[in-house]
Amino acid sequence: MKNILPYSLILVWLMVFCADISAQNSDTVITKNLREIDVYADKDKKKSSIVQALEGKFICLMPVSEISDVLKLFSGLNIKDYGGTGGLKTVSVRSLGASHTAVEYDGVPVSNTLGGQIDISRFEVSSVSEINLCIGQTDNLLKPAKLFAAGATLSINSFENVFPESQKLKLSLKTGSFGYVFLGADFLKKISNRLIFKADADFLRSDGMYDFTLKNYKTVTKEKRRNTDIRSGKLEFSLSFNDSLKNNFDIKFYGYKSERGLPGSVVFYNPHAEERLKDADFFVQTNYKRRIFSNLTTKLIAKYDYSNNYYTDKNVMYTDGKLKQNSTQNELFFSWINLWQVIAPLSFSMSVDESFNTLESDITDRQPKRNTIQAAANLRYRFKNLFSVTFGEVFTHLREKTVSGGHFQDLDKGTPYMTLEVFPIKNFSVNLMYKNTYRVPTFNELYYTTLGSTGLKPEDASEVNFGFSYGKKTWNVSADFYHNNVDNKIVAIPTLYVWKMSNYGKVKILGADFSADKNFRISEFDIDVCAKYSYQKAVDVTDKKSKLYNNQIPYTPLHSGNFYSVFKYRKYALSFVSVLSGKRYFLAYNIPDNEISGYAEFSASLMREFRIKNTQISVKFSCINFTNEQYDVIKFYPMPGRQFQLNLSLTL
Amino acid sequence: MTQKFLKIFSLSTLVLSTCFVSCDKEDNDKQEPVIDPVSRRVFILNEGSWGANNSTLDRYNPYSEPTVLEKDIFSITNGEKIGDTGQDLIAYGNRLYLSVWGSNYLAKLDLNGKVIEKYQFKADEGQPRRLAANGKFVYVSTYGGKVAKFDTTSIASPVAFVGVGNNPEGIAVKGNYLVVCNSQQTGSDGKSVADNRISIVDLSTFTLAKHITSDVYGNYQNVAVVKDSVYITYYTPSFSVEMLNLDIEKGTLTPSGAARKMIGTNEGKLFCANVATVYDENWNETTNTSFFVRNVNTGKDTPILDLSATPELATATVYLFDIDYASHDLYIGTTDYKTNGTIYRFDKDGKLLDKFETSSINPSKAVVF
Repeated sequence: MKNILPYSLILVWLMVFCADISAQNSDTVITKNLREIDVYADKDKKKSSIVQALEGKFICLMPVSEISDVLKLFSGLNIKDYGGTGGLKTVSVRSLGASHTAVEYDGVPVSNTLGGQIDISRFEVSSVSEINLCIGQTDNLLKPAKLFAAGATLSINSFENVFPESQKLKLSLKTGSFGYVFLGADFLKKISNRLIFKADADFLRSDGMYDFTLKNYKTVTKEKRRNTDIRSGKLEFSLSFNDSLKNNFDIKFYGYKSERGLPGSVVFYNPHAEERLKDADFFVQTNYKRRIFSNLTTKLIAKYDYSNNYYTDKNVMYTDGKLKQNSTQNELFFSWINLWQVIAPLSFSMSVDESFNTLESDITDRQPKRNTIQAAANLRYRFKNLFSVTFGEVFTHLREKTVSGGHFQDLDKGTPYMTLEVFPIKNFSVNLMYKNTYRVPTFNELYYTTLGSTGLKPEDASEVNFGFSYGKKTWNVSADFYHNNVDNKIVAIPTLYVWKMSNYGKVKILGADFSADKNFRISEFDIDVCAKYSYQKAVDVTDKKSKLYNNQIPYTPLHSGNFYSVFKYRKYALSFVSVLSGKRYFLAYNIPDNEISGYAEFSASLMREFRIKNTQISVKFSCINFTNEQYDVIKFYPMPGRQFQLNLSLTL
Repeated sequence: MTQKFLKIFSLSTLVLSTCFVSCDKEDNDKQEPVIDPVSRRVFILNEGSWGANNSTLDRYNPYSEPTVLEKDIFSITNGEKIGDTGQDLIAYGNRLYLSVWGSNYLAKLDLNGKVIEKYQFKADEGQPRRLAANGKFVYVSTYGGKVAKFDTTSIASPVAFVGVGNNPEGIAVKGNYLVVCNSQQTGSDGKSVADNRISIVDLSTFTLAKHITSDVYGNYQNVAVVKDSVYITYYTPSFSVEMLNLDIEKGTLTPSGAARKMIGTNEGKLFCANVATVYDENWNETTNTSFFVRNVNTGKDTPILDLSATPELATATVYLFDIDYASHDLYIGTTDYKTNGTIYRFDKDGKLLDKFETSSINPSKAVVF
């Protein structure tokens, strides 16, 4: 049965591809960069198959409640989802680990120097205009060096590239199972032909107390997840200037605050959970782009970010029965990017970033300060419509200081990359990508009381991808084959007394991603379908003598896939999504006791749009996990079963 | 056209869901061993890894030919698992007593591992750690700064609690006293402070008799009683484990060499396993493990065990070190914290008799009936 799985997914993939239904022009779900229009980028070129994107107007038709739900529809990703509205959600691309994925929000990198991983649950899906994932190298050369240094880049864009006639107010109400209520207001105002003001306010609350089925050997019980409540609020103001010819300028103020319970892992016979977390985040970012000459564009980015986490736990084993940990991070980030089209087929870009990161925390006496300078140089040669080759290198210069004790070693490191895209025939492209990348240890890994280790080296990774894509306006197929290596992996290892962070471990990853999407138009029906399948063999190759040698690393299914379809008929849209995963292991030792079963989650939504006078109204009813599948993504962090959600939005 | 599409759509979904979910069905068809009637057996507690609910109890018959290991008998007998981090196991009065840290309970088991009675600790009582027994009582240290006293006739609720030091670990009965090793406590700011007190509990009144305090030592871990002597292990600031000789009457602690694990016998012998580990700056370890027996009357240490057949033990992390008091067979369990543990059984002359893999991670205790 296990052997049938990959063949059946390929079969589905072929069925979608080969369906003999006449194609007609319509919107496609794969989109180009919308706002960040690089005049030197190959706008009309077929997208590389290692670039995946979904537009906000398409996402809003689907039964998704969070950004992590959207990313589950991409291929080659492992979404670590700890369940529930307040549960941590991180993205690991092709088993490199979540810290190798850079996240940018409206063109500016988001950072978390303390923990490394970005929790994508803090971004609200209904505010998104586009989500874009580039594995390896991005097409767009007008990016900060920090993004060129990462193994993959997840871009979340909230700006729409459509200027309103005068002003637009969108009010959203979402409510559903487990006490979930979301209130949102987006206000967009055209101040002049060149200036737009945008304000966005959200409030979210959820009890999150969902039922789940707990299997304890042969005993099966119905349990309820506890300490899962969340309250959060976000306020965002943006001002965007665009003279459409030479200058773009954006400034954004962002504030976010939340308080949530952390239910922790399910412990047999002991439901006690009192961990709490308060988050506060504020940033201001500016983004200025100027076309100095017809062949030279420059861009300046500046950002200040303040974030605070306050964690508490109650247990009589602590002094006074309580543990309190308060951490504050500050970041100053600057980036200067230039893109120069030297001669018609040759482009050169240079990005220089500087960031200052500080941590003040109870978890360490060191109070580290990090200064990072990164420079990326890219040279792209594009020969007519036959091929395009890009060479690049990122150089990192990092210095760290601490108030007391040791600190992370000085780092001066260069990492090269290369992409080649060949277009032998029309609509067909072949790509080859090689990239060396790494991640710097986080402040937690370096300095966390007793756990941290200042002797850590960066975790190195390399990516090789070979793929092709073929498609026309209404359909597209792609296949990618890749080989990644992770070396000097940063892991916690046990010592005689405590766990310590160490560079220990090598992982070899062999994988393949297949994707097919098609658009049909039958009478008044407009139908989009897409199927994806991923194969990932990610094994531990650290020590040949170890029992773990060649064991699949935890939380990496050999087979996974997804399928979605959207049926549009006049003002109606019916969507269906399925996310599928084969078995995984939750511990490093691949024995049956450490397996987590595969799962299949199915969701559906029905949306209706209508207009009353000048008000555009949209009503969407979603049933997420309608088969009530009981499963864990992370072992002993059960996911919710069947849940309902009603979305109402009014656009005035 | 529409029908064709719908047909493809339905078929695709069906094929996909069947394939993925089918993996689960196969996994449930595991064959379960049948548990034999009990004779003299060794019960091995595997602590498991924190948060994974994978603690198990194995039963080993050293006297059959060949020897038999029955894995995970607790789950098979009870239809449910031990839970999270089995902490300690003792055999007393034809019953087993099991303390489970994460799952937060004390259980009385029969020799098939069947739970006869169970006490679930309350939040303000702390989570259970180590066990000792005397007379008709079983004692449990808890990470609430307490020792709980249970009547063996029924452990449905504790008879009494006594307050001791911070987060007590190992406990042992010495005469009319219960010796309690207090470890360390994490403050509200996340920093840990070692407790430098050994608590002495008067068993006749079940009250705290006194604290034996040291200006030098702290973070005590375990206690072994050898005839008239009491030995304590503790963590040094550099995380090595060393021994102290405790004089309860004088209230003194005297350095007594290094050992991570120790077993006291009534014949005046203290069996020790010393795991000396040095770390480089990346926390890669170099471990030198040695085994010796101390004559507490003379204070002389004598190496034991022939490691020629098991050279890996010379660099292994010893997590279990117990003895069959009748045959004097030594049981040594090792861990790498990631894969299932390995048990080595040596006879009284130090010759390897058997070696086998346990059913889970971190074998921590072996008791013999």
